[in-house]
Amino acid sequence: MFVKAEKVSKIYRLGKNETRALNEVSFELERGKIYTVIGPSGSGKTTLFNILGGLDRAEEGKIFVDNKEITSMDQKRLADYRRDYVGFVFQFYNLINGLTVYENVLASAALSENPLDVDMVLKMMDVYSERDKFPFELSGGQQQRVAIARAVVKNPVLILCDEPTGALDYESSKLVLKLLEDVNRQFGTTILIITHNLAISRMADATLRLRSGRLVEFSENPQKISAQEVTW
Amino acid sequence: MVIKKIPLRTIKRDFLQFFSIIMLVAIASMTYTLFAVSMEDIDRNYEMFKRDYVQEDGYFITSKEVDESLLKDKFEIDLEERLFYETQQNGITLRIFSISDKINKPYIGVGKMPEEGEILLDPSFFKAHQYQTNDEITISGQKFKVSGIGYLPDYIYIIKNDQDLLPDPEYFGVVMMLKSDVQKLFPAPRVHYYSYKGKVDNIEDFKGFINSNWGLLKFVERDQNPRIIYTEMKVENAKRITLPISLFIIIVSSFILFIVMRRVINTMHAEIGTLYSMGYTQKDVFKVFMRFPLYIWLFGSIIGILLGYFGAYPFAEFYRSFFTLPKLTSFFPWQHVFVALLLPAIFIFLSGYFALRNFFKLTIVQVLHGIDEIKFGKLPTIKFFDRFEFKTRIMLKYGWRHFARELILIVGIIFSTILMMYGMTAKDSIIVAIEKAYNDNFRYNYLYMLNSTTEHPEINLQSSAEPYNLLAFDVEGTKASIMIYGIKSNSDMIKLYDEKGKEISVSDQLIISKPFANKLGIDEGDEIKIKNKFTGQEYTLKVYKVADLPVGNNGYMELESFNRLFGYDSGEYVGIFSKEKIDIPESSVFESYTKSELLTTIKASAEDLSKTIGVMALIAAILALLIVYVLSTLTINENKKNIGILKMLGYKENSIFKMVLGFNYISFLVGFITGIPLSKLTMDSFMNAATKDIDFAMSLDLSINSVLSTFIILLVVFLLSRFLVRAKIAKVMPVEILRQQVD
Ligand SMILES: Nc1ncnc2c1ncn2[C@@H]1O[C@H](COP(=O)(O)OP(=O)(O)OP(=O)(O)O)[C@@H](O)[C@H]1O
Ligand SMILES: [Mg+2]
Repeated sequence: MFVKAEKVSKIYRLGKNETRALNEVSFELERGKIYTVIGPSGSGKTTLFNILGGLDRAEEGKIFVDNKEITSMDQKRLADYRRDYVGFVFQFYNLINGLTVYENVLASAALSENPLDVDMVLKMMDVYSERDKFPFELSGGQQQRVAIARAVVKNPVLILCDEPTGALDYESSKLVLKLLEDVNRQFGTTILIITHNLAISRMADATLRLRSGRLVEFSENPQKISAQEVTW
Repeated sequence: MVIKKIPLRTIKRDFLQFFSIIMLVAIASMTYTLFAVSMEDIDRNYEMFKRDYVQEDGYFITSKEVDESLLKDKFEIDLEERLFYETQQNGITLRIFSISDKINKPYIGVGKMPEEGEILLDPSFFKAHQYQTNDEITISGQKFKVSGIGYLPDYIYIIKNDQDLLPDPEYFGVVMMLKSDVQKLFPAPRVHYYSYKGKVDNIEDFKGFINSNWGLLKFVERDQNPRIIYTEMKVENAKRITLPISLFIIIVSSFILFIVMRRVINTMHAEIGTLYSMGYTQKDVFKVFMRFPLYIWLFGSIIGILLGYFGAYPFAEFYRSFFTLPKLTSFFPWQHVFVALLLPAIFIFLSGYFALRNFFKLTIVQVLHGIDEIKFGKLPTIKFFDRFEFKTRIMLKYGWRHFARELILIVGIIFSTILMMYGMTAKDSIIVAIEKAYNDNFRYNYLYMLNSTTEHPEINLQSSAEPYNLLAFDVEGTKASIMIYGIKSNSDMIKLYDEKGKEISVSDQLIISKPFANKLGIDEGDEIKIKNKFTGQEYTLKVYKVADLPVGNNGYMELESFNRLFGYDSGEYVGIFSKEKIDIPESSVFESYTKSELLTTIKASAEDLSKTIGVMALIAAILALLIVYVLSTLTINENKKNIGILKMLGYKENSIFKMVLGFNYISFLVGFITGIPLSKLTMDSFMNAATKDIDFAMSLDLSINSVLSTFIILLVVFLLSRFLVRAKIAKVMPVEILRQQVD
């Protein structure tokens, strides 16, 4: 099994109050598939994203990725894990303002042992013509495509996306989804997409549904459709 | 690593702010380099001059010729007679010395050693009268050729009389010529002038021996010779100011940098978090973000050192010509350059390091959210503020939130105030106070110092002239000395006033000048123990009054009481104060000068002095400008979102400005008001430290004028920097709210 989560809990303590942002969540993910995570606001989606990506720590439970337990790694090994395994796509892009489009992607490629060609990825994401611009000169959709390029270029096995279409219009959203699907098909990358948009789950192999920190449903999707066909 | 490009790009994007920080560092290194290098240059050259051209350990004047070998052997010193004579022509006094072989040898700055019929001129006189080498000059009817400029080790502060405060090269010059030429001009010397070199164990024995054998007229030890120690004092003073000022500037700029670094990192939290998420390690991020302090330090200190270094030589040259010190050699003061590089580096890197370390304590998720939202999510809710009107409340809350920043602003304003007050007061005290003294206290126009203390039957004193008597004493237990004058009661020439401006009349008791009282730390009613400089006889006198004179180690008594106390006969005197020029046989006069000479001098030197003061005031003003600007820009950049919201709500720029930066006014006032007593305090300690071991006293008082001018200059600077900052507020568009959320 590629990703395996066993009774993962994340607890926030504020004074006496205790919030279980994740409560004994267990699941397994297969390599090369597309997953979506859905659930109401505050249900723990971003928390799961952070912990899976090694950006934050769980209080309880274990997570294995490629048979390595990431929940027991120290800071340095976690950094290696992020570098070698994971690409992130955030809702608000998080591009680096001081670097051009090309350099943003290069900054990511430079860390990888077998990166893809930067210009090839830029072309694939249809932002090649913007390669020498700075992020603030781009539209939201363009910025998100650069962010995906940045995640893809280092050729990771896992791409995590937190509401990648949350700030985009319909057309831009569909383009982003199509590109994520292309990456999955072309490179066999496992992709996990957090979304509010139920329609998006139709392009996934399976969907995780969270409520109040608990995993209430894990449903396979036998009638998977292509990103192109997804509408809402 | 491509991410190395981030810092430079960020600096370019927010250029004005980084530029002002860099300038802050530059000013810190520049001030240090400027002062340290120029002082070192002056110092080293002076030490070399003293040693190689054999500065005397003292000189004395006798009425009879001294048996040189007897004196040399008895006291184990080196001794050399120097022929001297003084002439006056066209109102100009020339003091002529023979060129000596062993002690006080002239250093030839320009031209060559004179031969027969040739002379050297002192550098100030040479310059003031625009002489060229080979010019002709007539002295006592005889023509001489100017062979060059000569610096004498015992005439570095070229004043005519011992009590003069400022040199006056327009009207006074020193001429050096061959002994044979002096003899030709003035065949029969009336007095004999000797310089000695060597340590005399018992100076009283030495003086007593000379006096009993050859009649001692004057004896001045090196440490009491104003022509030497005034310069040394000023150099010392300048050195004492250097380190504290440059240290303080560096510390202030480092604190500002500390805050700025934090902000820079805070605003880039999303980017740092993203770098982490991509797999960059803390070390990578550290290496990239330490480039901010690196660039600031590198650009700042290199600009500063270059400015300071190239400024130092003209600066040293300016001081040297002011003190008439020669330049014998050039050197590279690597140790100062090293300090100017290292000192800011320590502070800047430390503050950068701490700012970053602070950030590393957070988890990546926290970094992505930003430290601001964690620490300053809301303006503080302090009940106390709620009683005020909305705008005032917001203003107070901002002040409270940026407490550390306001504190630095206060410290910066205090410092600028002190710096500027120092300059202003120096001008006030030296120029204005002396002028005032000569108008209010010293009302004579001519002063004649005679050769001997007798009844002087040969002189017919008019009603516009008054006799005085004078003795110099050492003060027991200190290195200070005092000149006690015996003057006529109800004198029209010397008027003494107490602190409140009430006139003090002289009696049989001692009145001393205020700076002298300050220096010794004594007050009315205290006793001082003094020792006659010539005879060594001791007296214990009670201080009856302290007179408000701006300068001088002076004491005053009534003339007849003076004569009785110190063993003179009634009617004897040694000098004359006069309103008009009087006819006195030339052979009786030892020294003379006119008040107008002195006042012209003061005016001439005011210009020179104001240059130094200008440099200080300029540094103070720039510093204040940078501090206010950097801190305010910081506040605005950090609060763009809030400013955007306020604008969207419909608040006018004016009100927003008041809310966000209104607290600065309070800090400015607090800084200025605290700065005034602190200025007085630091100036007094500077002055005391500077004059501790030497025979000079001067009191510094803050005048209303200097306080006001300082306030006005600082206020203008303050308003100017706020005006510049205001433009930034105008630029913040309500759309910033959206933009910030996208970050
Ligand atoms: N730093 C924090 N401190 C305390 N509680 C937190 C923190 N971050 C998240 N929480 C809480 O944890 C729970 C899960 O938050 P999470 O961000 O994972 O929700 P989400 O499903 O991503 O919601 P949304 O769809 O709105 O993004 C929430 O109840 C939230 O209030
Ligand atoms: Mg979320």
